[in-house]
Amino acid sequence: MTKSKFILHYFLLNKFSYLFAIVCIFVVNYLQVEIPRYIQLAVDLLNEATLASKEGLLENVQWVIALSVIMVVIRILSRMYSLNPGRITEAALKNDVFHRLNRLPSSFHTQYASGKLISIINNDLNGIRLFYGVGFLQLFNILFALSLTPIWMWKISPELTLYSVIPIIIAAIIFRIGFRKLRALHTERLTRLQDLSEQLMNYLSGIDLIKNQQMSEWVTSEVDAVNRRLFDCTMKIAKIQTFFMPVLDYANHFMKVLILGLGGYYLLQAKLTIGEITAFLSYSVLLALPLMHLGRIVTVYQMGMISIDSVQNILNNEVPSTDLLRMDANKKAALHGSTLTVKNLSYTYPSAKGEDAEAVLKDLSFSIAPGEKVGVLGSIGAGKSTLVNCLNHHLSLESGHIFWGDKDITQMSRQDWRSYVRTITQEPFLFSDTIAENVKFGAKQHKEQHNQLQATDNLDVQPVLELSQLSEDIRRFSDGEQTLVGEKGIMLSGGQKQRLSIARALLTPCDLIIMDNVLSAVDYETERTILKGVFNRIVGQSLLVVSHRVSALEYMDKILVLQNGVIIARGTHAELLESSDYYRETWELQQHETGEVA
Amino acid sequence: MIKTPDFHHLKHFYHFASKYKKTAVIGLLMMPISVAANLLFPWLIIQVIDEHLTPGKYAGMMLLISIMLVVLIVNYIADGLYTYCLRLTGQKAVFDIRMELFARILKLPRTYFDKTPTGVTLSRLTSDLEAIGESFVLGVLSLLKDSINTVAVLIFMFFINWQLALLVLLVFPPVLMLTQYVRNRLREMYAITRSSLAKGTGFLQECLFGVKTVQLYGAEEEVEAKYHGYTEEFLRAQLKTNKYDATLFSIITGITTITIGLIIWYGSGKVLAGVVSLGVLIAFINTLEKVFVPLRDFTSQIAAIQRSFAAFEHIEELFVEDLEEDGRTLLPAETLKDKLATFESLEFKNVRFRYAGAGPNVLDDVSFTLNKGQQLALVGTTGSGKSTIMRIMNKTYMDYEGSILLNGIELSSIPKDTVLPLFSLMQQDVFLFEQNIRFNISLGDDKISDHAVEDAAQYVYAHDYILGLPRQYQFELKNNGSNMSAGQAQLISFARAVAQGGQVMMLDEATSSVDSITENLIQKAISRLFEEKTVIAIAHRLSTIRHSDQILVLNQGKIVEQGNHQDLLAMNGVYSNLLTDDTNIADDGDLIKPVLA
Repeated sequence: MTKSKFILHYFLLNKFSYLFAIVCIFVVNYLQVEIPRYIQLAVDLLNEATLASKEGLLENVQWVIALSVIMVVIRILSRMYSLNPGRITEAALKNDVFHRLNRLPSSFHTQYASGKLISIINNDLNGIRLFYGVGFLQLFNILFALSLTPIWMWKISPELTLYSVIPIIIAAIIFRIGFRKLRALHTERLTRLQDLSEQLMNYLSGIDLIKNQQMSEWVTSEVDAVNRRLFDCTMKIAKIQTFFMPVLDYANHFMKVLILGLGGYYLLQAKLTIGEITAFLSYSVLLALPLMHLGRIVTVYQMGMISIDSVQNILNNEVPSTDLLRMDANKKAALHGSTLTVKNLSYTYPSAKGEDAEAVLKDLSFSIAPGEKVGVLGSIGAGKSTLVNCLNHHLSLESGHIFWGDKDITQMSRQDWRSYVRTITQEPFLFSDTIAENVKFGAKQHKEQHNQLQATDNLDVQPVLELSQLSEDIRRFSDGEQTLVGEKGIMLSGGQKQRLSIARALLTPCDLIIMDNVLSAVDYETERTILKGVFNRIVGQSLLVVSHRVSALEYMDKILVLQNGVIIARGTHAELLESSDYYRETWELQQHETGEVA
Repeated sequence: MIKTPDFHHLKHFYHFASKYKKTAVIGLLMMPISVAANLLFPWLIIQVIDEHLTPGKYAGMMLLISIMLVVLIVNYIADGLYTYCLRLTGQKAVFDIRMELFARILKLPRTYFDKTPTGVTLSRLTSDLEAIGESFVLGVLSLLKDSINTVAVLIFMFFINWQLALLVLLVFPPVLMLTQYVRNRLREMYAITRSSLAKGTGFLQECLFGVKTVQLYGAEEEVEAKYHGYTEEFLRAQLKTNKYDATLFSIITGITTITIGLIIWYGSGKVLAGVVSLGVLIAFINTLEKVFVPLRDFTSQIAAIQRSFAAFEHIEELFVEDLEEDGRTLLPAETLKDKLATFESLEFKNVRFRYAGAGPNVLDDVSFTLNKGQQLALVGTTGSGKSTIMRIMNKTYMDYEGSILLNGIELSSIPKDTVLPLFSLMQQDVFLFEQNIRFNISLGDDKISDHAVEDAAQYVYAHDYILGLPRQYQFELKNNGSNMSAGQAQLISFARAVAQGGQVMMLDEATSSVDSITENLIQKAISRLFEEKTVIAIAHRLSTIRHSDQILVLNQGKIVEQGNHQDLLAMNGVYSNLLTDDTNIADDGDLIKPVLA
């Protein structure tokens, strides 16, 4: 989407609101210049002492009050209907960006640090909200005020209008210069503040050394220097704010003096009435205010543009087209319980370039039949996790290597593919919610897809917690399943987290479960118990267990031995003990290790 | 509005600001000038209209107009000076508070840093002081100016014409009530916005960190539904806020013209009756804004000031935090000077220690002696008390039980500053300044010559690799040494310890692996130190400690075995077990396999 299309798209989101707001803003500005006219008439009638004039005066005063009340009401509406769209756009964009981020593949997420993404959503969306809200309101306010006010002034006295506008324009220019300087200084100040924070943080983290080496004096003088730079910058800002910025306000007063002096001169020549001078005095205020806002709106506009750019940086990353092709329920059911076939799969990380570009996986072929239990053994760096991330399509793949039944998985949407295959990753991610909610994570839509009436809230997590050997631990928590696990599951140990993630994977059925070294933080005994439980439970489901421990794979139907990205041997445990030296050596080594620990 | 503790904070701030009394007084003196000019202006308007415009007399009018211009300029200058001088005072006070706080922090005991995350301390020095500089100083300044001006204008109005003034005053209560009402509603809304925003952002953050899990579980729609909920809640609260904001703003701007109507209405009879002049009426109309706009800002200024009190409170906490040597009876440094000029011996006698005087004993009945020229090695798992022993020696932690004698003098009675020069610490986590290598070795000490720096580097075998760096000893380190390998940083810290000339080397050997070439250098440097200096080491490698005079094997704060390498091997206990288990004596978990994580 181009930038202008983007801007237009979100403007159209609230088009009726904006249209109504424009009408309201116009009416407010019209009333604003119209009310002084009635004041003028009333003041002029004050000097005449006839009965008719008294009635006329009363009528004009009533007009002033009535119009003021109307103006208040319409102004409320104008502000609501022009500022609300900013909020609505912000909310819509938040959802849109989140939606996109959720669907962008790993190739995107490895490029962008999540901290940066969060800062875009938190800060840049603010800029966009101001652009679509305050920016819009002030634009039209200024537009109408600056076009209507001079016309009304002109109608009273063209000469006086010209003379009185001069100081305002000069002041506006000075104001603008000051404003620009101020903005540069504000940016500078932020940097100074950041410098200070960084330096302090640095010294605080080295506080032990600083104290032990008695460097307080030196450190203090360093902090003093940075603190002083911040202070100087702050005072520069204060100088401009106190001596430059009020210039428009004072120009307004200056204009009043001018109107009185010059207007008085015209009055004595009977070119003006006293009421007209009063009206002029009111208009002077109406002229100064929008000029003051003019500087602000330029900033809002500039900031908005910058923010839109950075949000577009996210939104311009298209979700791969295949991920948008969702299968219907029938097609999906047809592929249920298929065989996974891997044909000549090789993988090289896109970040590796030139001579380093060694393939992590080399020409792998194997298959997993429905219900089959396959193990992959390999040491660190053998390519185990890469293989897992290829199988679940976390990494972007070339087509023609991995098939589900007869369907190439790169030709189906990732979301569909993952309704068949479930991965339990090495480092499970937990949400700062209760244990029960974490186990149910991802189960909601599964329920929806299978049209089961049972709501997820009623899903019983007890059996799967039992299976993953976690229920014992949970009983010891005072809140049981409702225990909050803290940010990233910080309240749980590594092993508890891993077992929780196993429970999560087992809660709802799927065709193929991949366990990527998931029991590394669990002792051998528990590992065996869990695997046995899983084995018994998942009749009909396929299983792929990846591990560097032979003991985890002993009972598999088939074991692939992976070394440097190549399958160097395959077969059952017994077969491999015969045929593969590497397998046998690993087995013996680990037997010894196990014995020692136990 | 102002509670007693708040008053105390104000007094504390005043204490800092009073140093700049002169500037503040200049600023405050400008206040009456500004107020007078502010009132003179409408008075002059009245004069121009009543004396000249209404009767149609031109003579002398230009004089009045010129006076008005002068009044305007005086007001501009006085106003500017008032704000500038007082802001200057405030900022200078903030500057001083920051320096004083920092100086205090440098003197706080380790126990403070143990219980306080660095981020919290940092925010005391930055965002809390920002809040005081911005919300408090600016808030108080404008509140003071606005309220004095408003009161002055009202008095002026009464003085000119009390009936009209009363009329204006009549509008006050409903407007005030309305503002108060809307502010209360807004505050409720802010609470909702804040919490829904925090929840939404927190959830977003989690989803982004865990995006792989979200995608692998096909939970995209599930998390989106939840996130939409937060956004929706936030939006609804925002829209309500908008409504109240718009109402308040519109009514305050509208009230001026409504009051103008009322004044003319009421005043017309008076003018006709000759009680009120036209000039007065017009002056009233032109001054109204000065009365109502401050009314609108009043509550928000109060809120800003109240917010800043939270910052004051935070800072006060730091000011009352005990310094590490507060309330301790120490021997005067002069009398100790001779006795502690050189390190002779250090003796621990039945030392017990608990953190913050509570919890289990981290050290339990620890006794040993270290004499000049000897090497002492500490061995044990994490949490066995090795580091605590070192930290008690250099007085990082102070409240021990039992007796520790340094050259025969009780450690607790020696000022920390006298103890520290005796020890040179080589820590696991090397802290490097963002300065060049030379500085990082000499630590800015003028007494350490360039030659001495290079000698120290040579001594620990770091000289050669430093020469291989661009700009050599002038090589600037970045970000706590991110442009340097962990092993190289270790060597710098060794060179630093040697250059500082401490007589006892305290070595906390790193467990992190480094490349083999640097590793080799580190080992060579360590053996040299062991051969030639008095050393206390937490060591992880057999080779390092084999030649120590004394090895202490610690377990849960107790010394379980004590002796030299040969003695301990002969005991065939924990130590010899550690050795046979692996060639490396690991510091962490590996000794005890994590039993069911």
